[in-house]
Amino acid sequence: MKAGHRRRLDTSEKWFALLLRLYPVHFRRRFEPEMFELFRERRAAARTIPSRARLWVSIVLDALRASLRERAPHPRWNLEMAMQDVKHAWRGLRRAPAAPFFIVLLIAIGIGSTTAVFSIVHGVLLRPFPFGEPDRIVLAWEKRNAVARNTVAGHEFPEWKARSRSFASLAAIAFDRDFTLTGAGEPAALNGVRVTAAFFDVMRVRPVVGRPFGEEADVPGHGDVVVLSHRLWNDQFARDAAIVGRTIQLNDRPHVVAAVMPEGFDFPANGSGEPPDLWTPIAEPIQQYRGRHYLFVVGRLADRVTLAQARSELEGIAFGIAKEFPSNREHTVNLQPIQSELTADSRNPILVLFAAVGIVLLVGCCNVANLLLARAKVRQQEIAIREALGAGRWRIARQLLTEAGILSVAGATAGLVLASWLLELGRTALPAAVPRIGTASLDPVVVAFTGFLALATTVIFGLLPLSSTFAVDASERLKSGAKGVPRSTRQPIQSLLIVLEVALTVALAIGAALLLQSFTHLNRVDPGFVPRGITAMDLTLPSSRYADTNAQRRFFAELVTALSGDPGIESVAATNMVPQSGSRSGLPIAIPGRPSRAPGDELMAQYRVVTTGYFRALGIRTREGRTFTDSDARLAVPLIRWFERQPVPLFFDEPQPVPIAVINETMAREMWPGENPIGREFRALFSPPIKIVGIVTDTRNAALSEKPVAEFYLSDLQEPQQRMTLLVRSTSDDGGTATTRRHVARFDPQLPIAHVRTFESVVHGNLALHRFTSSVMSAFAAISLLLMIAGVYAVISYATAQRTHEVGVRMALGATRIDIGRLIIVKGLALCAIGAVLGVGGGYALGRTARMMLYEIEAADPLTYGVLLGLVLCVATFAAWIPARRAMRVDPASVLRNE
Amino acid sequence: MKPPRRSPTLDARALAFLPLTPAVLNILVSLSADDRHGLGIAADVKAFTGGRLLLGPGTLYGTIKRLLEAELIVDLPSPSGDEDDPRRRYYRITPLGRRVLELETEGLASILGTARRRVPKRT
Repeated sequence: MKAGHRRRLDTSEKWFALLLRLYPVHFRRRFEPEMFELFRERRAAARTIPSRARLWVSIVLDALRASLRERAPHPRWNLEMAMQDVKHAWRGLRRAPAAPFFIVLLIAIGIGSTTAVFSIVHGVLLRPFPFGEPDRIVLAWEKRNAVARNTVAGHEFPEWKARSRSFASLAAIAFDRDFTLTGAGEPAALNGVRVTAAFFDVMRVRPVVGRPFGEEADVPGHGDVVVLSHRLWNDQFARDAAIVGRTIQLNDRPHVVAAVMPEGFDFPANGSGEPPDLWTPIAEPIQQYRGRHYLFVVGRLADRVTLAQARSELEGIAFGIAKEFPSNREHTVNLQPIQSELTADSRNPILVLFAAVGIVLLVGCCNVANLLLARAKVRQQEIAIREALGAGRWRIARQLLTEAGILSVAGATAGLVLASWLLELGRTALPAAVPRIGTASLDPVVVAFTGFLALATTVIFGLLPLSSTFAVDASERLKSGAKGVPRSTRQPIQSLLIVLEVALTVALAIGAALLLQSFTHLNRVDPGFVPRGITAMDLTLPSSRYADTNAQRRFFAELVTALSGDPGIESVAATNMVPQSGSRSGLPIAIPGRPSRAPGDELMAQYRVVTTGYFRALGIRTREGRTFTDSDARLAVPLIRWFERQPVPLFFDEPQPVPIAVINETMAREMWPGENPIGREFRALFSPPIKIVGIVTDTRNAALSEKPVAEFYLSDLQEPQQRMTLLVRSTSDDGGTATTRRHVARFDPQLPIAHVRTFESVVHGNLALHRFTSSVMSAFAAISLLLMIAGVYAVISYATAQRTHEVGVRMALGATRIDIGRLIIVKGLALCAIGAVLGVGGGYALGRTARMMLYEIEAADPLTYGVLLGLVLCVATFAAWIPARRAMRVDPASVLRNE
Repeated sequence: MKPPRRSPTLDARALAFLPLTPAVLNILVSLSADDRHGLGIAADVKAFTGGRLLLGPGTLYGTIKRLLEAELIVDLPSPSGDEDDPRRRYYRITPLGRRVLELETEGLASILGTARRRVPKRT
């Protein structure tokens, strides 16, 4: 009969044959050959790939629908049967509502928290970035000694670009300039990035209108074009499509709008995680900025070039550069895929949270399984009766599955509600620096994930009781049921569940404790300055009106003087880099009179430019010498020159105060060990000798978790800045913002004040991720601990109840109450101890995963482990003690009478 | 126009099947013209719906099976003309099946008429 299709099947026919397995045997026997024939006919008609895809979708859906109908236990229609199952299950659940209620609650907590965290995992880590072929885009860093990710210097990038063949395009990005938009209402301070034209070839994102600038814009002097972000286009230009070709005033210079990028294109965000408002060309002789590390480099790999090939090529080029520029020795290249790079900082905490939430889900599931098992035991008799009355096993299994299904669907629905609430909470609690956190949502992928979890719980927990039910013969169950005493008191599944629950809880508790301690340590760290009560505001002087460094110096000096004379302001200072704001700037240091260090091994120090009152305003104490005074003002500014042939400033030869610096304790200790550095001199990059006049206490300027590094301060009177952040301490409610605005407007009404924030929020913002992960982990650990207590209690008390008869007999034979208590507790504790030991291993694994977030604590901290083991075992003993006490009170006479 | 023979019992039985699913309707329409095998039905339906309705294998044969069980169609031994392919079975519409189809068609015709009168045609 079947000879016709017994020939070899090709791949797609094999798939179809697999699909046919869905149908009942009798259906297949009758129709299979013809169905094959129809399939071949359809396949032959579908030649293009899309039509093939459509064919397969329709074939699979058709098979699912039709086979379900064929498999329906009643020929007419399945729906009413299913409804009957649901009604029956509902009646069953209503009869004893407590257990189902807890099951739904447990599933809701498990699925809800898992879904919330998964939506963050998906939104932040997994979803591809909205770039063209994002997996071909890489970020390139300079790598030297201890620093894996150094920004690229001006003399390096042009060499990389010219010599490499591995990239379809290679672009540089610089964040070193602020932008002020004028001529469109209030002057607005904007986040602008400067990029080379190749940036748009690398990203391959099509603008909404216009075309991005091309290579001609890279030529110095031709950079007055701009690409707008969708947000800026929307907010400032009301989505005017005719904007392209028009001129806007940026930093008082006319810029021609070339294009508008699409919504959601937010690359590259600056150090504070803020998305760019506009992109303009770098358009400067980059190669002249030798030794100035200010470029971020992004590239698109050429076709068929792997990351490793590109990396080794760039390393070769870096080696070549090092030969020409000895200061580049030991500098190599670090090439990373953009997706992992952009999510690098948040990857670790988020994955740790995901592991934690997975543990909560598992512990919750253990409890659900326990409850269902207990229910199944109770219902064994009911099931046995139904089986004896002729209900097939399939019918009973369907009944149990329907029950589990109702519980899972109810739990998952409640879980989704919980998840959306938790997600909202998480989005506000997580720092804005976590990229794309705002876009994490319960999108279809996440809901599908929830659906999968619900389905898995249904199948596993619906079938688990079934296995134990059918393991015993129905007649046995009827017999033993009649007696009310099950034959076996051994509960292998329950014991396993206890071990698992305890192990998971211990692991999670250890992880949470490690993170919590790290956070506490971090919170106690003294940053070395007092941020409380200070408001920070950014001010950027446009080059057009303040091209002269002396004009810049004068502006800030006069503004600070005016502000400090205002009665509403307690203290005022300014700096070019707010501590802990993510930016840093290191310079090589040379000390006259000492042999120069080998290239690549120079002394390095961070530096900041500050106003005279900075140290007092921030509560930084002077250790020795003095800090800056107004009489330090120099005519010949600035001190730091970025390339060797940069012309010396005006009035260089005039008599004036010498260049001075204040250094921190670490720099004093590292560079002048055992000496008094006051009065000594050093050079930074190509600066003239700078004299040290004072030593101040260390501050943690990079991050609370980073130890202070060598750092020196320059006075803005000697090193004027175009961009400064005002740090204002005021008693007024708005932190002195209004007063500052008034004064600034008096000096220059065209100048916008940007980015008003409290200094405390800057410092706290850096801790936000730590605070978030450690508190969420602790919450998860607490939930898990509670669930574990409930689980241990439930299993042991159930087992004890089953052993009432045995206990009665033992007591009648002379066992004391203490013996009985020990019997019960020891059994429970033995299981918990096994679990706890396994949990320690899990805790260590979790701690290792989270080690990047650990501060002043090891992943293998013996104290933490000891305390938590003790705690969990105490709690477990308590959970076992309640049923043990009940067993100790058993009256042997009454038990034996019942026999 | 009334059909020549009307049996009240046949009508009562037939009414129980209404309304028809698209698959049933199209298969019955296809068989109303000629006896066909499954593939023939699929091809015919595809042809007269202008390719808009492609019956999937499961839907086609599942429906055929149910139509057989409901006695709206019967299967015939394969005619001698198709000896090269003994697997193919031919199906024929029964009087009951025909009556079901007629009743459904009347209903559809009436709703179609109403719709044509009420819904203005787009020009």
